[in-house]
Amino acid sequence: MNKSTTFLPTLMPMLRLAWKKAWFRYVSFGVVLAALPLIPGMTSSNATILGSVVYFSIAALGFQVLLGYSGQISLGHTAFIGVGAYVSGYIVKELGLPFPLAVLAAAVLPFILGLVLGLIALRLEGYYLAIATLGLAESIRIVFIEAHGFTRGFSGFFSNYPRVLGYQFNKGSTYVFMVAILVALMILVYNFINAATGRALAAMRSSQSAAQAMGVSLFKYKLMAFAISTGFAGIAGAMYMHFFRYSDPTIWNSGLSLNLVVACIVGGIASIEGAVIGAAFVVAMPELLRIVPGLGSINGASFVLSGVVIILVLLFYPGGLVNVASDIGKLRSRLSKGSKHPERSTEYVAE
Amino acid sequence: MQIFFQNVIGGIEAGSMYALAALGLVLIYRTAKMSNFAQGTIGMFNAYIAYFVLARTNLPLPAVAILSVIVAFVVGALIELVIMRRASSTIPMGKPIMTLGLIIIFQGLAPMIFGPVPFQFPRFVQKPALDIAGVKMLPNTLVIISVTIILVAILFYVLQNTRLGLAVRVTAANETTARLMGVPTRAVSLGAWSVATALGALSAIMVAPLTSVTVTMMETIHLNSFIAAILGGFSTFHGPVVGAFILGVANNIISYYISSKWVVAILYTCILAFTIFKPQGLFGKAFVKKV
Repeated sequence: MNKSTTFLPTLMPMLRLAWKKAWFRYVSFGVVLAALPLIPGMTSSNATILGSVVYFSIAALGFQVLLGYSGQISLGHTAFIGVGAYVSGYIVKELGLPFPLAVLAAAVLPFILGLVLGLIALRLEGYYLAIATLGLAESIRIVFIEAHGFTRGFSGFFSNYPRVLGYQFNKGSTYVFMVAILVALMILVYNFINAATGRALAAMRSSQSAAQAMGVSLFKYKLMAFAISTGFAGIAGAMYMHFFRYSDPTIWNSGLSLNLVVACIVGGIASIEGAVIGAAFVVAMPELLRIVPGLGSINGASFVLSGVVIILVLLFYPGGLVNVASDIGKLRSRLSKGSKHPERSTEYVAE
Repeated sequence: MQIFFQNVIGGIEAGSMYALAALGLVLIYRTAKMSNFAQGTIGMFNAYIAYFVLARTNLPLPAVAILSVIVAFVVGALIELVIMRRASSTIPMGKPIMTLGLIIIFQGLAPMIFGPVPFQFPRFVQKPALDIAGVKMLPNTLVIISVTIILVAILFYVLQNTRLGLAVRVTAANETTARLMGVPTRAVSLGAWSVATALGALSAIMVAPLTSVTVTMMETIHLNSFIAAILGGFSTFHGPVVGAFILGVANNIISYYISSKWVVAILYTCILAFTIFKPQGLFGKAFVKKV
């Protein structure tokens, strides 16, 4: 007891200093996230939901670079997640190559796919990218269904937990591995958007023409943002394949692409933490609604609700859920300032 | 040769639906300066409503179709009044993202209200196929194609030759200037939303008898109408209509002569490749924005 009281004063300023560093915040967040399955009473199905949140966070983080930071919409990102899943599964299971190589390939292939599609679709302002990705997703979905030798079609592709350098992962350690990847990618995105690239993207988002006039090469940055987002989607797919150990074409549907948009908007546009919060919202809401009496029994209630939430957030709270904590803090300080004489105001009401 | 013409007729029929939907997209794109991704989904929802009105009442099919188009007209107006008009201060891309929210809502509501079972929607004309020089043609197909041509002709007449059409074109060209000149731009975008949603619903009711009424019935039509608009160019009203007919016919011909399995992939790749050389579309003009 005594020891801790002398220890704390020296530790607190250090912590406060470290907290200002983004990487420290992300790493501590990762440690907490990785420790969540250790909470007593955590069931296996809840641990699966957590895995779902983490894999979807990786995809949402990439999507945030595209939607939040470069202001482009894609409506077919689930296709890239699917490509990542199948490619990583195929490389490990069929070719017998090591897992890290599979993750690398799962990132690189969608990245290249994104570059090629972006080269064509990003040459114009407007919604060409949204429609081009929608068309590509439709074409890729057909590949998933028809290319039996590669994806096994509707019968589904089964794979195992990863194996790295002779170490066989199990469910728990795969989850920790996914969290580590997520944290690394969060730091990567943070550095990316706080460098010159991020400033160029921010300028582009508010006015494309003005940014162009300032000498920002729109095309280059749009393309970069899009390729990064598709690469992240591929990594997310590889994580999915090796955590859930199964994939079939029905998983990679257009609803999942829309959920990525929901995650970025509801969590908080142009915010790294927002992408993760939004991903948690999208994945956890159906589970939470199941607890609510009446609503839980209705199939698809959570889907409808997320549609309502996205419109409400855009209309009334465009900053997203990431701002809730700071806004509550502001509200509190305003309330405590405003109500210095509470008894007086009640008197007026009484009169 | 007969098979070729058979495919062309089928392509024109499909193209009619793409044309109506694409016209709706372009109306909103030009006047409200945004993409309405929810048009297909709202059309799907209207097809469900039409099916249930038809099943529960004794109304004739054309009356039900008109009723459902009127419902869509009101829904479009409500979306503009309740959501889009209030969203002027939201983030960039906020409005098109809201239409994604609408997709989620209607896609979730449809199976909740109407159940997961697909419904068979009757044809407008139940008569057997006509035989024109060996080419078989259902009277229903003729109805679809002629309704589309008449509607498109009326819309273009209104756009080109009336004060109302002038207001729409002026708003499309430059909204701020239009407003300064006394054009009621808010009413124009309200009207555009209503008419566009109605067009989307009509397109859905035409598709319904050819497939069946399901949640995903409009996905291909909606995507193809967007791609038709890209092919024809978003900067004119007639471009997307022409693009729609080209897309419909090309789709059938590729499907018959090359591969029915990979037709979508081939077609989209060709059109993407086309936009490399002509990014503004067939009839598009280069887009210059002043800062």
